[in-house]
Amino acid sequence: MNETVVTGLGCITALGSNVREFWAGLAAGQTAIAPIRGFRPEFLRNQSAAEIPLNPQMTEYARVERIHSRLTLFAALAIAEAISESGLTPQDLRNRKVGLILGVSLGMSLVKGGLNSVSENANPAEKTADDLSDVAGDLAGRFGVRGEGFTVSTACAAGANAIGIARDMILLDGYDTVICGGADTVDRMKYLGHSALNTLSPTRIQPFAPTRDGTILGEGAGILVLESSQNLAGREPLAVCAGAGFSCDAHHITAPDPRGEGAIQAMKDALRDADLGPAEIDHINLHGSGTPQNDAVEAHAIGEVFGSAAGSIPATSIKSAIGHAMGAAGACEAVATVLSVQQQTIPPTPNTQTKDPALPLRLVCGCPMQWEIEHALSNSFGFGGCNGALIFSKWRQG
Amino acid sequence: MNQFAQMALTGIGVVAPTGTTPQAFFESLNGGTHAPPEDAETSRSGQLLNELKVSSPKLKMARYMDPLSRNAILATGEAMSHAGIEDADVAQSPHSYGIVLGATRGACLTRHALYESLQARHGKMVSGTLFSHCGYNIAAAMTAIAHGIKGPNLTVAGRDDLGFCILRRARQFLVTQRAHTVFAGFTECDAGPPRADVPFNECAYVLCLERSDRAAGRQARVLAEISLQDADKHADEGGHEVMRGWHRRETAVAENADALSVALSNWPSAGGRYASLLKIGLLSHDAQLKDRFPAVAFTAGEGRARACVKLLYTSEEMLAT
Repeated sequence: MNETVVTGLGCITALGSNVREFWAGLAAGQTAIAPIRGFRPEFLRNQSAAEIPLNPQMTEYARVERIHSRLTLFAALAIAEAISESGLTPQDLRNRKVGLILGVSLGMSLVKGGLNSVSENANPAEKTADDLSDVAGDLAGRFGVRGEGFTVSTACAAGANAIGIARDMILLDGYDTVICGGADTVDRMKYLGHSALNTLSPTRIQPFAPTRDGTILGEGAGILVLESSQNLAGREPLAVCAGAGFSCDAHHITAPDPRGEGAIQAMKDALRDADLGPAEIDHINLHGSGTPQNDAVEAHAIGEVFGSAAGSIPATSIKSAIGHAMGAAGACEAVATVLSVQQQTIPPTPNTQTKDPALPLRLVCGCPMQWEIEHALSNSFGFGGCNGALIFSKWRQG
Repeated sequence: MNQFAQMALTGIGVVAPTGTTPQAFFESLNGGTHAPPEDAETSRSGQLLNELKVSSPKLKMARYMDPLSRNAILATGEAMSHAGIEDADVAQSPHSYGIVLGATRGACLTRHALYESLQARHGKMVSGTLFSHCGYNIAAAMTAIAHGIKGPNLTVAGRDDLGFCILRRARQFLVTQRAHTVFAGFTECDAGPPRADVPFNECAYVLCLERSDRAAGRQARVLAEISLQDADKHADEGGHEVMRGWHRRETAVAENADALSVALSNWPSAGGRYASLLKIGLLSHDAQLKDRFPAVAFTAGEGRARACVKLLYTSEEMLAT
């Protein structure tokens, strides 16, 4: 049977510049959210973010690889890590049918291109890095990928949607390998925008807490190498990418449908795609952005899909650890979900001591939970009502 | 798997400086007059609908909309209407309809206005309304809201054959039964100088693609059935092998057929990024071709993603049987 398996992971977030540091931080319940250092914090609703400080290794990598964009740098670092873990050689990438899909939300479209470009332009006429058409193609060229290379932009569901499409490309379009995930950057313009929309927390991000009052932004990249199980040649995959779901609320540009219809549809679509029933899901990595409305709708939607079991499935949100990384969020959460399946461990939700009793969820708080996970679900919901859901399962030979 | 899974093209919607009829759009492309008209009035980005004097109640659903969104909403409405799909049909099963749109630079004019709002507020604030319309997915999202489409909703960008990428994504959603109908196309509205890789500076173009069984079931008028076949992935020249096989079965090969040579002569400049989607519309619209050939084919995609696209001209009687 041809399955889509995960053979490599790459991740750069404010918690660390690789998967090991990312997982260590998540498992320890750390938060990487700190006072903003990269741009002026005046007039913002919140003056903290999960920024990635560029270390000397990163700037040297950018110099050697001639990378002049923060967005491309994050994506390239995560792709390099994921490919390295997968065991694929440059020759494999050249000779096989390989694609590359990157989910991006606003990317650097509101600021100039550059490695440290996180402040607003001096005047409206100044050009921003707004052409998304070259981002994935450029990365594909850098890594010798000769199949399709394109960007998916579905706001904060982009990373999850990119992985869902990659799964279909392997099953339907004869791809051997697809490098997929998401990347995004934080900047002052996004902070000004979210300040105007009141989506930022004036205090701190506390997903599903009774006192939750908004989100905090982060940046980075999460990348998965997906392959056809027929090409493993003795390599042991990390997990199976078992299903993907897509939907649209068609309700409002920034607010979720209060009935959660789109979220319900995305989760059901993923379950159908994975040929699983709700009772078979052992863990949910929540979208959990920390806004009052989003968390309530997600909890309601989970209640609709899972019924009374919703209160017993251990769930977590990592946005209070790495911030809401927008186009990269779904992909970083997918990386965390794969690690949860692999390690049989669910990281806690930082900042949330106890969950809102009105929400039918079993939120992991305080310390990590050891749990038997056969199948795990990861949710992502974005502006414009774009939704994505992914299911990862434990790899079993044969 | 599903290499031959077919899609039915049942409708085309266009919003371009040539108007909102596909015929005028394709004639313009065939004649090589796809560059923005000399008339200064029609070359201002974002003013297209005003100049065409086109309106729709669906454009009044929000107090602000980027032209990218307005044009996509109208083009999708045109494609729906051409395909004989009513709002009520969508409302009956909204999750079965999806959208895949190309938008490489997104809402440029809104982003510009966002910066102006920052300047007007002395660098302290931006307009929340403008910020919420800045996303690359804004046109696909607004189109979904306007038409009540709740299935998969994607916005993609890429530098190679993006039109073919969009076609493949649409097919994925149809084959996996995530949708039975996908509105696939592009919307671009560029504030800068004319670009060689898109037909007009401001333009939206949407194809209504359905699962063939769905189109047959509702007895839709089918403009063409579309099949995709991967070229041999182990050889860059594989596409020619597939094409030769099809040619022997009396398929006109678009790059060679006399009847198409004129039509395609201007395409290196007009086709560009969205060539495959535009070719499908153009070829399925050409009555002369339909008289001469039962099918027409062309190669699409780049490198290892190269594939062949075949349009089979069918009648609704053929599909119904």
